[in-house]
This record gives sequence, structure tokens and C-alpha cells, in this order.
Amino acid sequence: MAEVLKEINGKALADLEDPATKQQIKAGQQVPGFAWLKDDGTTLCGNWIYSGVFTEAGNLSARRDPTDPSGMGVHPAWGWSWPANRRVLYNRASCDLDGKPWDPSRKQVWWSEATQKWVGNDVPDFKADSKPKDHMGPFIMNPEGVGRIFGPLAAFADGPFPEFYEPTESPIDNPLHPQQTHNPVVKRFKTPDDKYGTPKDGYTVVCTTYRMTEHYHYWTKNNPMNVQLVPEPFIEIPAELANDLGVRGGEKIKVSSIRGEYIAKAMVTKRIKPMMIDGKKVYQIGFQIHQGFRGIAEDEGKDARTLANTLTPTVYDPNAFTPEFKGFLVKVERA
Amino acid sequence: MSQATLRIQKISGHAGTVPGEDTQREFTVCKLVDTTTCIGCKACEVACVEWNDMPFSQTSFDNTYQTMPDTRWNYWNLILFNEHEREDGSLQWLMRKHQCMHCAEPGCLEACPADGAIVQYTNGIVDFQQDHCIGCGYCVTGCPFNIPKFNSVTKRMYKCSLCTDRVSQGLEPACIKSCPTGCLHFGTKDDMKFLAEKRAKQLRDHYGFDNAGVYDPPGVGGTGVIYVLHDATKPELYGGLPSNPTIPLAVKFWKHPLKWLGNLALIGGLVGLFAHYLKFGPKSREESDMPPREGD
Repeated sequence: MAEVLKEINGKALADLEDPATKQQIKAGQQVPGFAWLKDDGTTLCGNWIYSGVFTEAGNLSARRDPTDPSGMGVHPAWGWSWPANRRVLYNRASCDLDGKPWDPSRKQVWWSEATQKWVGNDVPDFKADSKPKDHMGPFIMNPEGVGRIFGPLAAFADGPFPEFYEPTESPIDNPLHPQQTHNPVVKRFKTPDDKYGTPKDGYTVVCTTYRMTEHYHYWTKNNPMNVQLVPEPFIEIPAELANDLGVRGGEKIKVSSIRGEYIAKAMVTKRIKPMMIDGKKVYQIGFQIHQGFRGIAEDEGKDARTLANTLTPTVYDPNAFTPEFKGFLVKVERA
Repeated sequence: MSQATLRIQKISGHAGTVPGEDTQREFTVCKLVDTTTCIGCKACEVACVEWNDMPFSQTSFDNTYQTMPDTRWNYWNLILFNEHEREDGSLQWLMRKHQCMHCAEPGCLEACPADGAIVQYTNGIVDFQQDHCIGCGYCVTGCPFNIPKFNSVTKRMYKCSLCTDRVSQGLEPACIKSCPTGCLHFGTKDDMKFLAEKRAKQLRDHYGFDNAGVYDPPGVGGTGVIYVLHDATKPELYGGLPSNPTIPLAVKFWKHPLKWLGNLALIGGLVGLFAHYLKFGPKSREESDMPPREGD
């Protein structure tokens, strides 16, 4: 582990000198920090934000000195914090434009006129010799140098503020603003098979899909141990819905969305209760994704070999491109 | 394996002394199952099957997350699921890890007629020795938890061994090692009781479970597996846990007074037979008994 941490810290491959401080390090020595890293092949470093963790002084992440001289909860010699052992990021923001801490009782860092450097109880997360009058922004990792209250339009397709929208298939309109129920920039596939159902089409039951502890995605249906734990696919439905359909636990039911159908045995449970939404009783059901076309049970003809994601909508989040697997509309009937 | 060891304190169906009987041991081992933090992940079921190299069984869907209806000869440890609706309408999904309870006074051992088929170690573990087992199934009658299971191919009985092969080497049982939530604990009976009572008190004081308690039934002398239950007054909610398990009266009667009555009857019969012979001699044939002679 120590060897790996040393490589992550980085070392000099040639004799180097810092022009500002005239400090020198020899080839083969660990670099003291990321400021020494160069792009001309004279240094080698695994990860710049961890540079400084394992210097010539040793493995600084293994330090266990709990003392906190300033009383500010900094504990500068307990372990090592990236980057450069800075304990609070953007800590220059704790001072005013002149470099004086806003709160004299909580001095994290400050500008020292005498040494013409930023100093403090914590390592300043800032260019050490940048004079306050030059107004360098404290949020050094943002191009604009200041913090963000909302996401700039370039970062979010549906920014700048987070907003609630209903999934593409929903039993109700958006309670916040019914005239814009859905995310206006949500991405959808556009082939003729990409249809979307509504309660008026008969798809009145809310459905979700999920995973189980006993199975892992699609390959454990080939593993006898997992198949022993959960041998067959099943659909969990509320006891009230089972009553309405006249279905008992273990009987086959068919769940269909406008896109496809899924046939499996019903698990009748009291754990899911019907919901009252907008004055109407709405049922929710769910089923797990793990069975499919080939597998131990499938090859023995023990299940219907229908696939969970033939039901889910081909709609995905405009930022992360996550598909809407977790909420869509179906109808349930006996199989 | 040899039973001439101080590590065994009870042997089923055994004529003669047991070397470890009445010896003092520092502690008995105990498995604590905290049903209030079990998530029903079945890691313990898998660990047991894997550690004991047991062949996989066929299972089928039965309207529950429970793997199978009951333990089997090759499935010693099973999480029992129960959806329980409370009076206030709220729902509890109760999950209890079901396996041999390793009773201090084991009914299976009491009922077993085969010498050495069931042994109890001085650390409290009750173990089946299949090489002495005759497959009669009397252990099933003796057990108040319905644990021993028969293998129709080998004709022997099987159950959880509390990983005696691991425990004897200083390791914790496989199920305890695999539990991801840490709801399974292993240690001495005293330590586990202490931990269990502490947790039950925490449930009563801070979590609104006024009836939380520890299940350690005295009717079998206490058990090597104890439970923390949300509601200790209703153990039957947890997959049919008996509220006051004891060794069945029929077994106790059969193995003690009835056995001696039987012996008395057997010896008495033989003695009586001999006494009658001494007093009345062999049966003499009377004239009327003889077959008619020629010419009569």
C-alpha cells in the first residue's frame, strides 16, 4: 500500500529547483506537493490532488496527532487531506476583500502584510502570493472564481433551478403546474415502437422495477445457488388489487404497458398499499428484472421468458441519460 | 469419532458413563440473532450451504420471499418471513433466522435410541453423528422446534451443527461471519445474554417497542441460539416460534418411568416364568390331553 501511495504522491525524475523559493529537490526524491509537478517529463505523479501525501518526510496520511492548536477543528497533523493538506476548501472566502477574516473569532486563513503571503490555521486554498487587491476569486476551481447559487445553463439541460416533473407516463398532471406536466427537455427515442400510454388508454396501474439481493442483474439466473434462493420471476401486487382481480398468490398474471407484456406469478402482499392521489385510488405494483430469455429456469421451460425492459419507457434523463425504469403505467390482468 | 473425550457431556442412547458429564467448562457458546436488525438478505443461508458443501435443492415460488417452506436435510438455516399487521394498521415485515436452537436440554438427544447418534458438547453444541444414526426419526418427536430432517437416500438425520468444525478451531460459525448488518453475534452465553438484554432495553426505551425482549426458553433449559424480538410476548408471529417449548411429555414419560416399567415387566416376566417352573414344574400331560390309543 505504501509503495502505491508513494507513486501517487509523485517523484522528481531530474534535479529540480523552484525559481521563487530557490528550494531544490534531487532526482528520485518524492515531490513535496503538486506545485512541483511539470509537464516536461521531469516529474512523475499518479494523481495531482494527492501529491504531498507521501513526501521525503514519510507517509503523512498515517499521522495520528490529534492536537488542534487553533481550536477551530483543523487538526492539521491528523492524517493528510487533499489537496495539499487543506482542511476546508475555498477557505480564502472566509476573509473580506482586504484579506481580513470576516469573523475575528474564527480565523481560518488571512493575508499577512509582513510576509506578503496568505497564511493561517489551515493551509490557504489559494495562490499563496496573490495580493488581496488583485481580487482573485476564492472559488479557484470554477472558471468564474465565485460560488454558484444555481447551475449555469451549460451544465444542466433543464437548469438553472431544480424542478419537479412527472414521469412520462403518470396517472396525474403535475401538481405544481399542470400545464407543464413533463420535463420539456426530456429525451425520447423516436421510432414507431416508442409509444407512451395514458390512463385513458387503460393503463391505470403505476409500475416500478427493481433488483433483489438474491440475484445480480442477468447472470445469476445461470447460477444454481441464486436460482435456489429465487427460482422464478414474480410480480408483487397489493392484496386489494389481487382481490379486485380475483387472483391468489402464485397464480399467473400478465402486466402490460403500451410497449410490451410481462407474464409471471403474482406475489400478493400487504406491504404495498393502494394510494389516494387526487381523490382517486391508485394501485402500485412492482417486479424484479433478473429473469429473462436464457437461464436455468428458462431453459427448463419454467417461466414465460418475458423481459422486464420491454415494458419500460424509452425515455431518458436529459442530463445523466438514465432511462425511466422506475415509474410507468401498466394494466394488470390474469394470464 | 471417539466419544472418550471430556468435550462431550451427553450421548444419546448410551449405556454407561459419558467422560465429560458433570465436568465444569468455563462457558457455553451462544448465537444471538437480533430479528430487529435482520434485513432478510439470506447471506447466512448461502454461507451455511457453502460451508457445509451441501447440494442445491429445487425450489419453487410460494407467494413469499422465503426460500422454502421449512429447513431440509441439505438446508439447515432458513429465514422465515411474516407480514404482520399490527392493531394500529401499520405493517411489520418480520424476519427470523430459523435453525437448530441447540437446547441445553435437547429433546432430540433425549428421544434418540441410537448410541452416539446425537452428542452434546460441553460448550453446549448439539451435534448429529450420522455414522451412528439409524434413521428412526425419534429425534423429530423429541424436538419442540421440528428441526431434524431426514435424507431418504442416506437414511440419516441432519441439522445445523452450529459450525462445530469452525467453533472448535476458534472461528465463528459461517452464518455469523457472513451477516452484513451484524445482527448475528457469537460468543459465550453470558455475553450474548448481556448484549441481547441491552438491545431489548434499547428497543423498549427508545424505539417504542414496549414488549421487546429476549427469547431464551427455560422449558428446554435455555438455548444455544437466542433471539431479540420486537414483541417477546408473541413469538409465534416470527414464523411459528413456540412460546414455551419443552421436551414432549410422551418422550419424557417413555424414556424415564415407562422405560423402567418396561424393564420391570421384562425382568419380572422372566423371573415369574422361572418361579412358576420351580413351583409347578413342567406342564404335565393329563389323560384327556393324550390322543386316543389304538383299540380304545
